[in-house]
Amino acid sequence: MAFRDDVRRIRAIAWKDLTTERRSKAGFNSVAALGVTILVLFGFALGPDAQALREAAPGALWLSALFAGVLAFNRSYQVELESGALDQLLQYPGSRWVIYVGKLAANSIFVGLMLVIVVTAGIALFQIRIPAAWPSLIGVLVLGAVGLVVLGTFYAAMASRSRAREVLLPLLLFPMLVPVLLAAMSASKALLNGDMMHEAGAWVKLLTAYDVIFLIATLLAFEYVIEV
Amino acid sequence: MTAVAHPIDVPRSGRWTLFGVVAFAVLIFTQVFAFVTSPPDANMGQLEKIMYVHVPAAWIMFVCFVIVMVYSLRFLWKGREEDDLLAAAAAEVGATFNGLTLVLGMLWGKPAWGVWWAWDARLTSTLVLFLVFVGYLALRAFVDDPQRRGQWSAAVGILGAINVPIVWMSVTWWRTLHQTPSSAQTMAPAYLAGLWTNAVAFLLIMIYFIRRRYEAACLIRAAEHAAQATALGGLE
Amino acid sequence: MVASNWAFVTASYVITWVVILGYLLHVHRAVQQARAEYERVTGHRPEAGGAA
Repeated sequence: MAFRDDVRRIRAIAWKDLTTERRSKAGFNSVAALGVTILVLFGFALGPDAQALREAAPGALWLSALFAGVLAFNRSYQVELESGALDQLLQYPGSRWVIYVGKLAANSIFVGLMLVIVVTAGIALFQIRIPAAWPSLIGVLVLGAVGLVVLGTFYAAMASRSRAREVLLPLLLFPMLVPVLLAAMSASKALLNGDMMHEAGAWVKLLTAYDVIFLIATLLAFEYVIEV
Repeated sequence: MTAVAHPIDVPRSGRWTLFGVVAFAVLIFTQVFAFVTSPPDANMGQLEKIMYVHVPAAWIMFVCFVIVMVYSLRFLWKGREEDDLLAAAAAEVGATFNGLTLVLGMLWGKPAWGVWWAWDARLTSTLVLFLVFVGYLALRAFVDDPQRRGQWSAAVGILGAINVPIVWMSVTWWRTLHQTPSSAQTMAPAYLAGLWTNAVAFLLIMIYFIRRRYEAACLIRAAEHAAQATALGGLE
Repeated sequence: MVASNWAFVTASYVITWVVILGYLLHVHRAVQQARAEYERVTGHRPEAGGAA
């Protein structure tokens, strides 16, 4: 019975986060637009030769998603901070993990949708040839996005409530994301090139391990971070 | 959360000044000893003398890093403010030695490999660790409430610690898959004596630095406690 | 090659000592300022009080 209550609360929090985004339409639209803009700038930096663009595409795509996504994470706490709702949320009985999972769900949807838009733009801009193994590529995108969202949501719980939040979140987050970025970019690159060396599998294992380890670690640590 | 709840034990400074003097004397001795007595290497010439500062600095960086992790865990578990202050002191000292390790590594790398930087597992992980330390210290600088600062730093420190071996593995794979040669830094036994003595000397310096930094932090917190107690109506 | 290495070796030792002595200064100044603050607030020296 208690678990069903938790699930209901999680859905409520996720829904609240997402609908606040939808009402303030500027939120998602501008973040997605920013992602594409950054991608365009990467195009200028790395192009216009098609082959060079294709080789740089995984890196450019993931970095564009990262830089735009960082904005999403701080925003997910900002709405509550401005209205003072965070303290109210903490009053409710039940574990802090409910708040965390709710925000994870909302941010996953947000970042996932943004990733779809950025990748679609990237396929055109970077002249990507869609490989036969594109389902595996989607798997890599999902795993990478999970790593991004888990750590982004966790660190934003702190950064969004401190001074200099715009610089603090990237400063804390980016070193932590090195394995995710490395694995996602390398696996994407391998899959786009036909994965002759079968290296994508190893990277996927690393990504999965990373996601599991940090999902557990952040779940355990969240109550120390959100309550104080 | 008010801070008057638990008074800080102010560490006494008396004998530590003597310790500091001894530590520095030992360091000067071991540095001169290693520098003067180590024979030139067949391949690297005099360059291997850099090992007597670079390697100890790297080891100390790791020791500091472990201290940060251990005391962060202790702080979350027991809630004693002193544990948080010690972790922070170790982080500052560790970041300093981390930066030194990177610079010395580059000064070794340029003549040895011809490049200032190589993206191998060791260097890259050291650089990422440095960024984690810097983030930790930046977080502390931007958070004023001591309880919040302690909890958040502990979380950041522990997660950062978990990440470092993962970074190491990722970069190692990244390199081997692209078949770029890794940098081997082997040391012949003739140099180990100089290395170990310098490592001990650096360790003494580290202990002294952390102790002093911790002392300063405790004094400031104790002053803040006292100020609050007075403000709340002479509870002291 | 060997001769020019001396520049790097010297630079390494100089930088090491600059950093170590620099941090020594930093930490001593931190302790001095902290003690001054403590005395200012509590009116007595840290050794006299022990626990705050």
